Amino acid sequence: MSNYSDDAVLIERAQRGDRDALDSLVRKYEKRAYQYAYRLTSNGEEAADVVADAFVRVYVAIGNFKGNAAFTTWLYRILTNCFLDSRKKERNRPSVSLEAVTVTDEGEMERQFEDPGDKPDDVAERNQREDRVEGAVKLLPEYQKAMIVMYHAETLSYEEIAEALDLPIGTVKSRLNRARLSLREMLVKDEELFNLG
Amino acid sequence: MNVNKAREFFSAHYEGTLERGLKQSFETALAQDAQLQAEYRAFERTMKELDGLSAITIEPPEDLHERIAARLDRVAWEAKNAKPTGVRAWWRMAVVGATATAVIALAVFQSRSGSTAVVNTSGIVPNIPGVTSNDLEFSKVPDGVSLNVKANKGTIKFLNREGTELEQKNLESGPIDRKLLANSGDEANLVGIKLDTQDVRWLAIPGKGARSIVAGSGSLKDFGTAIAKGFGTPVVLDCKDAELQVSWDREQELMPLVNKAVAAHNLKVELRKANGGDILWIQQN
Repeated sequence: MSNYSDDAVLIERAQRGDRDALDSLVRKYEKRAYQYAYRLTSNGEEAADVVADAFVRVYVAIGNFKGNAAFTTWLYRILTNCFLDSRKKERNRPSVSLEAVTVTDEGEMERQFEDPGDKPDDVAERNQREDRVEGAVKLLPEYQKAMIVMYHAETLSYEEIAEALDLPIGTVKSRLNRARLSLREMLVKDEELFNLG
Repeated sequence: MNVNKAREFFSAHYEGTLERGLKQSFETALAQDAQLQAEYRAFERTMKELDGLSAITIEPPEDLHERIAARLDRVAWEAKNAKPTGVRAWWRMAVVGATATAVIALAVFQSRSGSTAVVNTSGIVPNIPGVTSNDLEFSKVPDGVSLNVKANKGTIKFLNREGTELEQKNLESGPIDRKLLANSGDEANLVGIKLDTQDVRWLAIPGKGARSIVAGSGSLKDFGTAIAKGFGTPVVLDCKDAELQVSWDREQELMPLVNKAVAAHNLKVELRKANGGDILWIQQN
């Protein structure tokens, strides 16, 4: 994903205040960043906000980037932090449950919410199994979700995840194993329900 | 290996990274427990499904780049126009503080090393009639002491506290008119002036720091420096032995203090009045 030498030149220029170089870095990584953010948030609007926040943090902190790790690893760390911050803000804001029930003249019905985000075009084409997996990933705790997405969707190595999340590699492996066990349990339960229906 | 321990190795076994011993234990536990086998099969399915996630591409909104660029523009604009607050203000204060510290440190270093800045600034040094002795006229000026050299033959040398030559001038090329012997540091400074074959005259130049004098002892050079610092009065030591040892008390008044300090020695003390300010003269009797 990251071309070290190209990135190094762009980063060095951006560190000297070259806005065009920063723009080039944004163009190069915005799609990948959005994909990761969307997988974490499952919401187009929130994903775009997370990505914009992340690039603002890149802009502010680019002078501190030493180049010891790949730019992408650094970006994943920032994106993850922006996502966690966004969720923290969300938790502190009064919210309405999506499962809320409303009563109309025609009786009781589930409240309908329109997803404000940009739904990816290919959602309809995904098979049911993929949807179930994605649905299960959404239910994971935020940190586990970030790890699962990094490893399985973004195909980062354990080493890269450890670097991005500033964790020992053993911790990354054991937490990922726990997250996979949780997903397995969720999917097994889902299968049982599916078979009953 | 019990069931819970075996579950901890599901990922490693699936990825084939278990060590031989652990792999054997894991597989033995698996072979003996049908429930564990079922769990592991479900785990394998989950892993395959998870690996399929990477094939799914998600297209960003068309205006994503513009949204990011707009945020960056706003942050850049705010940074440019905002008054320094918080970390920025702290940082700016730190830089100013560090610079000031560096300047003070330099001044102290100069003071301790005795390397008074001896700068020719004729033209901006006020022409204040001073105190004259053997072709040298001293006047107190705001930044130090102004020196006029009336002699027109031989050389004049400026020395630091240790006697090292700082500067030399051939007087035959013309007399020195209003040379500023400046001291921009906090501490008083000492400079030696040797005019041709005459003995060195030492000049203690007050610094800009707070005035205070404490009881002490040392050479006449030390004493002159302490007086310059304690009273803001330049001191000229016009005597053969500037290393002569004296001791002094803490006194409010300049002259009682000086008279008491030099009482045991054959020295003459005089506070010479000049337009820019008094100059204390200590000379051989």
